Amino acid sequence: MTCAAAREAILDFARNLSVSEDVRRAVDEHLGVCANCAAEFERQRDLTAALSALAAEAETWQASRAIEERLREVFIARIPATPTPRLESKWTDRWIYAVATAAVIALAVWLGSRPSTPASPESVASTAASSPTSPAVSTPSVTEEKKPASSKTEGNVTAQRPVPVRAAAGRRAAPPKQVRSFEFVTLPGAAGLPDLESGSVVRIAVPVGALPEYGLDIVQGGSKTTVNADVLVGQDGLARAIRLVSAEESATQETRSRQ
Amino acid sequence: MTPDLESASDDVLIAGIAAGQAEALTRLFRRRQADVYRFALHMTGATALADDVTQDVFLIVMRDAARYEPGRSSATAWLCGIARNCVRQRIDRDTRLESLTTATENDATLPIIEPDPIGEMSRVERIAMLRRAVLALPVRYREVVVLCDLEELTYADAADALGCAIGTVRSRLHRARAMLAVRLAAVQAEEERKVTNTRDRALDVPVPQKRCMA
Repeated sequence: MTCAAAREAILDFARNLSVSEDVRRAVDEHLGVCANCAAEFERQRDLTAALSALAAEAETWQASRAIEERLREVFIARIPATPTPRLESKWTDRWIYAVATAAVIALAVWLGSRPSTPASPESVASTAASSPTSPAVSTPSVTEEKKPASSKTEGNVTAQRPVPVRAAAGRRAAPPKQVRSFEFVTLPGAAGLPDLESGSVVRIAVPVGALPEYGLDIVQGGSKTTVNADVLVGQDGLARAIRLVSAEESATQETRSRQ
Repeated sequence: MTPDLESASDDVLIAGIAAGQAEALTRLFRRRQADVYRFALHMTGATALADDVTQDVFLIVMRDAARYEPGRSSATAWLCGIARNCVRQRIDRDTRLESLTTATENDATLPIIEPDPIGEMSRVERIAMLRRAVLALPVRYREVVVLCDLEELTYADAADALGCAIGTVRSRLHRARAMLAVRLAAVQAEEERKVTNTRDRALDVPVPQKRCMA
């Protein structure tokens, strides 16, 4: 074995790495005859021992305990941002817009097929009352301030409408005199639809002249002007109920959206 | 702590982090923070910097856990590779450490000297001196000494952490150890010179004469 080859093997040899028996024997033989390589081997072995002592001392070194808690807080704060919420994803938004468009078209078609005479509130109420299992009443995923149907007083037109729902959390209750207009009213065509399992509320502009078709009150304004209304769209994309949106509520939401 | 995470491998924990499991992060941190911290402290010599590097490493683990490739190398090597990059960024930003590094860069050409520098020193002195000598190595040589000799990574894992070939690791380690021997010899010579000077001064001090009170 040459000195160059021995120096190469001495590194592993002195670092206590496993070397083949052939190499070990060759290095031993070379160290027996080469004083320089033997001195180098001793030097490397002493260096290994010193480095091992330093490594042993460093075994007790630990990072600051505060780091773990900080990392955990950062990690938990990041978790909600990773999975996309079901109703807030880009695709869900597109789906809602598509459904809303379909709902508006269906509403327009349905309005065109209706007789021009406005239906009386009583007739609308009776229509709504004929479907006690209306999907709007059993809306667990959309209703956030759902009131039990039994809390409604019989004989009251509003109470007979089985849609006591709020579209969004945090909204104030409408004043009593406006309750009739600002609560959801089941659409006549929704009576035979499957139960509402989930859905979304879509805001649309409705001509004032069309409001009596839903039993909604016209407060003021010409028949050609429009008012904002919320349409409750079910999981199947079909509209179930509608309600007017007060001017105050519209203004509040516009302000929020600007912010 | 979930029992299955306690005994889970590093690879499983990293996959758990990628899946958003906070407990996996906690478990991996408790298991591997010391490895990362030791590497950082050996590399920088400053506990505050080592803490910062350790935190940076696990922040990167949070972000890049999904990019970890199990089986390519050990998790420790992966973490040390991240730590190595963080340390280098810190060193680049820190002028003090940078000047320390560049000042010793030329020492790579120094020859190996014969005297045994560490035979006569006490254990504590030897460790302190060795730590300073490691810190004074150029970064690329310091890295291999820390990974291979102090963290005891295999050549393959060290190569993966450093992003170089195994042969490069071996040659750098050979060179680094030669440089360490030179540095230790220089320190030893300096220590011996100081001891000699102190002894000579002690011999030169006149002995105060006792007064006769009688």
